[in-house]
Amino acid sequence: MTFFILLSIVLFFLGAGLVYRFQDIARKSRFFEKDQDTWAKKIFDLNIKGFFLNTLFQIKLFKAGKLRWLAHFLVILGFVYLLIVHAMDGVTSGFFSWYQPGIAPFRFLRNLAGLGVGLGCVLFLLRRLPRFRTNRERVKRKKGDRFRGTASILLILALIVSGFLLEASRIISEPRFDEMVEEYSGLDEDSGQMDLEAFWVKNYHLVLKEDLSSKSIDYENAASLNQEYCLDCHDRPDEAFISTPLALGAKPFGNWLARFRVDNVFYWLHYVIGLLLLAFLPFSRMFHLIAIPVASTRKRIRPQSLKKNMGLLDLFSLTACTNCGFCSEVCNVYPNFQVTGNGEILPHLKIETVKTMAKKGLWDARTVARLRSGNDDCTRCGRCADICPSGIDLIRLWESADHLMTSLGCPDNYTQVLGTSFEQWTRQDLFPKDFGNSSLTSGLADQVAAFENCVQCTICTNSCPVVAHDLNQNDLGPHQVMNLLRLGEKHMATGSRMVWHCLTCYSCQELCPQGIRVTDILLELRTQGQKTAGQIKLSQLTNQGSDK
Amino acid sequence: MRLAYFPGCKITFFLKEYGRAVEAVMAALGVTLVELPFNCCGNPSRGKNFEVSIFSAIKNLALARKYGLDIMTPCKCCFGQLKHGVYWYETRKDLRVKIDRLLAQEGLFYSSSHESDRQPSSIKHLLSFLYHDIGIDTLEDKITRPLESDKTVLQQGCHALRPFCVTGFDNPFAPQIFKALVNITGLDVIDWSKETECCGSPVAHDHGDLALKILNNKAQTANREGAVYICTACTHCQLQYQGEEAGHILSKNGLLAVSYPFVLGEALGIPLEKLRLG
Amino acid sequence: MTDLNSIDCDLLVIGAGFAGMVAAARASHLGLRTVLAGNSGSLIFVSGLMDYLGVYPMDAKGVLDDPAQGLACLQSENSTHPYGGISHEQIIQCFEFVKWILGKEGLAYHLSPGRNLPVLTAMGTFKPSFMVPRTMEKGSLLFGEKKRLLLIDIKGLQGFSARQAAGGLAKTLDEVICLTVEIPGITKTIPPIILAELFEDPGVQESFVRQVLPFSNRVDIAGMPAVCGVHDSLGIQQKIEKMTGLDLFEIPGIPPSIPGLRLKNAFEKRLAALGVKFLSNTRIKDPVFNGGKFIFTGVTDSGKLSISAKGAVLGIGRFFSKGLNAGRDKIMETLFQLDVRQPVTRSLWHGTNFLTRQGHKINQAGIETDQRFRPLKKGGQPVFPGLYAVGSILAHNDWMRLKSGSGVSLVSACTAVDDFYQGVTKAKI
Repeated sequence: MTFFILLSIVLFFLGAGLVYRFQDIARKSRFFEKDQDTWAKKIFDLNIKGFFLNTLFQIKLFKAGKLRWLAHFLVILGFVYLLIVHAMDGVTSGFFSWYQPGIAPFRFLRNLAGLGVGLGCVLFLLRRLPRFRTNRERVKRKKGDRFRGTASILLILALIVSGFLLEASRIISEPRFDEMVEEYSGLDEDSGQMDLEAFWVKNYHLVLKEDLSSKSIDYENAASLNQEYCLDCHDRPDEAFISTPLALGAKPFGNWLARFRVDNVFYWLHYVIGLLLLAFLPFSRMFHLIAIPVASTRKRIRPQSLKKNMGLLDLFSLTACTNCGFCSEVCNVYPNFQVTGNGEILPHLKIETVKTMAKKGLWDARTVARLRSGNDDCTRCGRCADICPSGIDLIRLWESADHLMTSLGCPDNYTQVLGTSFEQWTRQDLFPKDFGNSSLTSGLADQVAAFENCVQCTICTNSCPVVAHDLNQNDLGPHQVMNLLRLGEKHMATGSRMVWHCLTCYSCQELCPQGIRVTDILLELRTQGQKTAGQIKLSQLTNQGSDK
Repeated sequence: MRLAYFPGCKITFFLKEYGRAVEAVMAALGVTLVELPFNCCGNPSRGKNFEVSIFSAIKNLALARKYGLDIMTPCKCCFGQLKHGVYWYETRKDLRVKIDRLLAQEGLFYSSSHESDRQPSSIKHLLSFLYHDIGIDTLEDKITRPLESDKTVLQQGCHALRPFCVTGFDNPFAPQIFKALVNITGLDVIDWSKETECCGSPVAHDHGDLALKILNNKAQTANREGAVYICTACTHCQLQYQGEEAGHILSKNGLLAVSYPFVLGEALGIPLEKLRLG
Repeated sequence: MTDLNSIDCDLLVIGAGFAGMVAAARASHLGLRTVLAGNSGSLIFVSGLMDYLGVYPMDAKGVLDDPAQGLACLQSENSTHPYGGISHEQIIQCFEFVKWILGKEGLAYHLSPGRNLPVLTAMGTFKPSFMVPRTMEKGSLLFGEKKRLLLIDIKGLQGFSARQAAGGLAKTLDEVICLTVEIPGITKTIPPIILAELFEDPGVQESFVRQVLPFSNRVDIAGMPAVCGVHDSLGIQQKIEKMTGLDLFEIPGIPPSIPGLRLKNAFEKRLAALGVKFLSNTRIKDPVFNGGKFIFTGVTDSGKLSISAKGAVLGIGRFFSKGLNAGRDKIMETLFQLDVRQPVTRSLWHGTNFLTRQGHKINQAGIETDQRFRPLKKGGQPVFPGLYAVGSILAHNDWMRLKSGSGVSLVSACTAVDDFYQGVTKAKI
């Protein structure tokens, strides 16, 4: 009875938790533009194949990492078996009359499933040890997230261990034996209970307080009693290839265990852990059990549809992220992170930041600016989305994140430059401190020798496709940019449209009769302008934040 | 023949069919493409962070060197950037030191002082590989299903062509390699006043209007000069020409953009569905 | 450069200016395996007019009507001039060769043997030239004719003003009308090459014609700056002539010059078709002559390549293109360190009067060669048997005063290559 009350409470919690999570996500998944496809269409536009392949077989995880897939598959397979056949045995045995947990092969299977889950969990934990992590996996993660992941694994492991302990302790438990005898046979001292006890001590590893070795035992009677009352539900326990050795090991302490009814302690422990897992499912890492199948049903984005529905931030899919880090391992622009140290380049960290941003808006100007920069580095190669074991449509997410940031007033540097007035651009206090002057640049724009030979012959400007096709909007020709450098007005040049629109076709550089690396200089000016643009953007975002 | 295949960032998502065509053609020519865990070539970062762009390029080369393979890419931007990477790595000493340090952290080496028995990988574009390594005559012999001699203009792709001093690809003003390779498929390559001009892809994101103007100009001139096909050999160029709006502009001018791997694949007699579906 | 680590060829042409282009064209035409190295961008500086000999003697007041006359005079007085040992017929053959080569790429030139053509310039003056683009031909027929002329300039194009040209023409012509044509969409200064490319657009041509048409009955002929398309300029001109019913000619302007660009394009296409390997912007260094062969180092941004060649043509130009280097007291040739014929002291380089008719001594400085254009050692012997110097680097050749720059370039280039070719074929036999 207590058990049912507890279960009901937990199920209520679970239901409420799920409703809360779903609502919360739906509330935050906002449309930033109205004229998008309708929900109805979205809902029916399902990716059924993806759902089956990824939910049942975790095909994407298989492609990503075989060992991790094995661990997952062991856990999932074992868990599903245990959930259906063991946890819900009341329901299961209702459907299948031949099912009894204590007979072959179910006893064996239960141990096998438990072993699988346990092994999987151990693999998970091992992988988390620093020595088994590759260089790339050591990229930083949020502490809270790591804790949540490890806690979930430990809880599952505890459930399995307590299960085995429960089974082992019950095998040898005399009080439990007595309870069963009383409930199912009605035997007493006279009608051969002792015979049965002795039979069970001999064959079923039961531990008795009383020493029966001096008594005369009618084993034939015992065998027939066993046949009559027990054998329908209880094979010899040896099939339980984990619990039985445990039980044998615990035999010397059998009386002590029986006195304190340790088997009951394990029973409650096992149930409480199970219920805890259930209750916290919506809020723990385990939520990905639900989120991944849902995310996997989302239609994959195609190149043609990339620019559609940009305003949709599919937060639900994001909750399927388990922070596994595969995306960052394959990330095309991982070297950008290695050089700049901006973690917001890495997909698995970007996801977290995008989630926070969806919730809190421009909560932290610096972080949002870093996210903008990191997301602008992304080349949309799609390798993260291809590998994501949770089936999250990451390319769409990066597009949406760009869109979201722009709508929050954090545009890319290009837009920032073109939207900045000349006066503001040339304000001295916004000059980046390490402006130019670094031995790690191409070192042209700050080196007089690189452009002093320019004779302003205008061949560069004449050959420039930007000048040709953007004639009325373009401000300076390349030769005028070179002239600005000669006049010492480099900073002015960094904000010119020419520098930001350069197609890098290298026509000017190939033709320059003086051998000036015109295109390389334009590119270097742009890299320097990026810093100014970043500074201006950050100061604007900070002001915007403090206004609120 | 084994090559480290460097598909670049466009094939993996935007242009899967381009990649399949490259793979099919290479398989037909008996070339094994080895996939290594390459990263971005660094070209997108050229205007953002110089260090990143050169480090990215060199890291790829170091990886290919580790496996003793030459790099082959079907993208001219990747090709050019890898070449630029070598130039700047050799030119800027402080940068070289920093890059070497970062590479060493992952057990990679580019400069010849480490594992000096191992040659640096050479960088090949699909076209230069076909022209120089397979050989134009060998290739011509393998053409089993020549195409009809439709008038074709070539989009050369800037980043392989210029600066010649860095890329060493072909004559930067009157390129010959691409022309010869298309002519053997049966298509009839004709002169195009905009052959060596940029396709507009680099500003497609930031300044879409300019990219469209360039595209319109390309389509009109190609049409005026008598072409029915624009043939590309760069993922960025192809992507620029086959977008929704671009496709509309081209078809308005009676043009179709085709990528060279497709053209060659068909001429080699590879079944079309193999080129498209892999 | 991984695509090329070493090249073996018959002839290396160093310098991709006008002389270098002609030399490479001649060599590949003769079947020599030819490599060309240098920067071709400077060809955009040339006017596109090809002079033979416009003035002789240097301080003459008038211009030469017949360059052959001047040549005869020159050869009798000054045998050290590059033309010193070459006959008029040979020179004409060289011009015809260049005309033929360019014609193959659709760039049509016109020449009248035995006669200089007075070409109308942007200043309203007439400059004597010998071989002119067909698009400018009709402008050379104006001189002395009483024709009514429409001078067209284009809004946004700098460097050509119809009024200015008309001012210069006031004495020559009776009636000159000026017209400024506006190209739709052009609201500010437009670089000339970009304007020329715009002219290939039928819409722009129509708009141009629409604005010129009202004048078609009032004038006989119309002149416009040389922006009539980069590719197929003659075709576009003829189309516009048909639409306006007017004779049309182009007027050469200041650099960057579209006729120069057309020349560059035509040469580059032709050379590529002839199989010339063009190493754009590759710097040639460290020549070694060994066993009858030159070994050069080609320096590119991505490494060095070794080029071995039986012969070399030095067309590296003068100071601007760094073929010659003016030190504090001495002028040096930069590649082979050849002797440079020059005034004994720096003070003699220039006269005091900038526009003097006698010219400046420095412009006569350069490499001294024999009549086959082989640079000479102190003793008068060729430095190397297979080394030639061509074009503006040659000494005794004030091309500006004599109006003979392109003539000297193409004649020296053809003659040098022919001589090398004869040497090679003899050696084979």
